[in-house]
Amino acid sequence: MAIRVKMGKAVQKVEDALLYLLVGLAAFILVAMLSLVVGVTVRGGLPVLSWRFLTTPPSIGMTAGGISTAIFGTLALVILMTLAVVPMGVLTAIYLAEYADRRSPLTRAIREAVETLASVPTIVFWLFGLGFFVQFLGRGIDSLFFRGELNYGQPALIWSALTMAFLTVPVVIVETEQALSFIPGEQRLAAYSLGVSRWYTVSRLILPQAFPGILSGTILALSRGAGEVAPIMFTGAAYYLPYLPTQPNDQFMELGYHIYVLATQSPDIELTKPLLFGTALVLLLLTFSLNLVALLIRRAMFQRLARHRARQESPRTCEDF
Amino acid sequence: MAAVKWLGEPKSPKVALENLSVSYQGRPVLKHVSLVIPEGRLVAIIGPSGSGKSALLYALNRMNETLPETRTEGRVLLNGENIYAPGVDLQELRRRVPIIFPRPIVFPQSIYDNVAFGLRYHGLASQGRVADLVFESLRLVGLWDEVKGRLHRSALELTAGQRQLLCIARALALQPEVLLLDEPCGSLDAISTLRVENLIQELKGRYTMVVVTHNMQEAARISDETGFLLEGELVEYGSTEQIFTQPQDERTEQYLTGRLF
Ligand SMILES: Nc1ncnc2c1ncn2[C@@H]1O[C@H](COP(=O)(O)OP(=O)(O)OP(=O)(O)O)[C@@H](O)[C@H]1O
Ligand SMILES: [Mg+2]
Repeated sequence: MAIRVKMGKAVQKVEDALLYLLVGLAAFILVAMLSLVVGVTVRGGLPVLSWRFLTTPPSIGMTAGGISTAIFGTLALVILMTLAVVPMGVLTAIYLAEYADRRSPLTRAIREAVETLASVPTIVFWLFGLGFFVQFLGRGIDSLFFRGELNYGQPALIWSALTMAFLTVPVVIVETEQALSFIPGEQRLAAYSLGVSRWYTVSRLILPQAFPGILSGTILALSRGAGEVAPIMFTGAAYYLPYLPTQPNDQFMELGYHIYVLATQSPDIELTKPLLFGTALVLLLLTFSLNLVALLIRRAMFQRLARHRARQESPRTCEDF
Repeated sequence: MAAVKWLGEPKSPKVALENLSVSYQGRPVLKHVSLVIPEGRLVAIIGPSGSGKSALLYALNRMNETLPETRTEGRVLLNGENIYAPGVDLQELRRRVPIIFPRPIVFPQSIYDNVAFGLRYHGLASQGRVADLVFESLRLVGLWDEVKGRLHRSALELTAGQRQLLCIARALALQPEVLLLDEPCGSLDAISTLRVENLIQELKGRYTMVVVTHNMQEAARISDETGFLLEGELVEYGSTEQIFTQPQDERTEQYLTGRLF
């Protein structure tokens, strides 16, 4: 009996060691890959990174010049997307967290939809964007307001932004809902006990506290959106544009798509290679810093909430402050 | 059902429970409770844990409806009107009958905003008057001198006792008629408890109050009437003096002398 127990322990030790090894290996591979990706991008991109590179448009068939038009397009896309995704995501999350009966079929259906949306392959989004926004909505607007003249029934900035909004809305919903659920229920109870409405409670008491969570969710959505190419191909991104988009139905250049174009459509791969890495580096820096900001906001929020909770639970008992 | 006797002639009844039964998730927590609370009196509700004291308070301003699957039968009359009748304005009801919870739940806002929270919603005052009402409530609960210099600092800086007073000020700002206090000193130290108790004494007569308490001395000290709840049943209800000196029901006596639970 004693021997078997000992043997069991020995086996467990070996198992443990093996597990550590595997986990360590996995972590190592992950870090190595990340360093490789970042390293290659930085090495290739750093030499071309300059103020000129950021502020001049591409020239000579995109074998020279900078990426200012692509940066501008990316910003325009992301801003428009934010305008669409924040109300959509935040309102849905408010409904789910503050109003919906958790067990009702409608709530469950919405939750399923959000989860499904989050797992749809991104390539499907351009099909959806093209089919629904460009073909259906765009054409509809044209025939209603422009007597069929082609204005919105073609790839455009606005359609890309909306397609992107659908891609990123689950992030905003999940983050916002989480931020809302972190606020203790007793606060709502205290508010209701004063005879105020639910919406007053949500808008005056709950939302202000959840604001950092909503902000970090939005930033995460932004960074996700800024890094995606699939949804904007064919719904609005242009291969090359000599001008900046000024109307919602203009086409636009975008960093991710620009990388794709430089990598696959270049007339002279050796000439475009540095530009390619430079663009990739800019995109990488953009998404990294967005994620970092979101992370910092989230951490600050949780710390504040934890402090608040601690103070709620053990307020100072000495009367003289 | 225990005989519920009212000794002494009631003035105009402010609140009357008529055969009130409440169940949470199919489980009865209040059983056929009837009692009358005259205007301006202070009623203490005592009873062991889980006997339905909070449920009784929650039934008086329909806070029980914020809990899942509650059923209420019977009537609760406020100034003679059934608060469970269809078409009753719930928000106005809770403005008139606010509840104070055992834990002082302040909002993570400024002291001023805490008191103004309900005021602003109910539009009880024009913009300029909100401040007056906030100050008045803070004076009423005796917090004014401590907080007047930091009205716009966070309410989370207050001590537990100050917080509970702030919660009471927040409710008083709404010019309520009946004040429900669920173990208002339940989470406070001795000094803060004294302060809140003194305030309750001071408010006596101005408001009709129902105070739930675990503290027998407190009930005996501050209340005019006392009701004893046991397993959802109102065993006895009468003047505090009578309940504490010559309880009619054996179970009341057992509870008061510590022989029950
Ligand atoms: N949210 C709830 N859901 C289901 N049952 C509940 C809920 N809250 C309380 N109960 C039950 O209802 C009964 C009465 O509870 P109540 O809170 O009114 O008791 P109490 O007298 O206030 O007790 P305490 O002195 O501990 O506060 C108890 O049996 C309790 O378990
Ligand atoms: Mg209770």
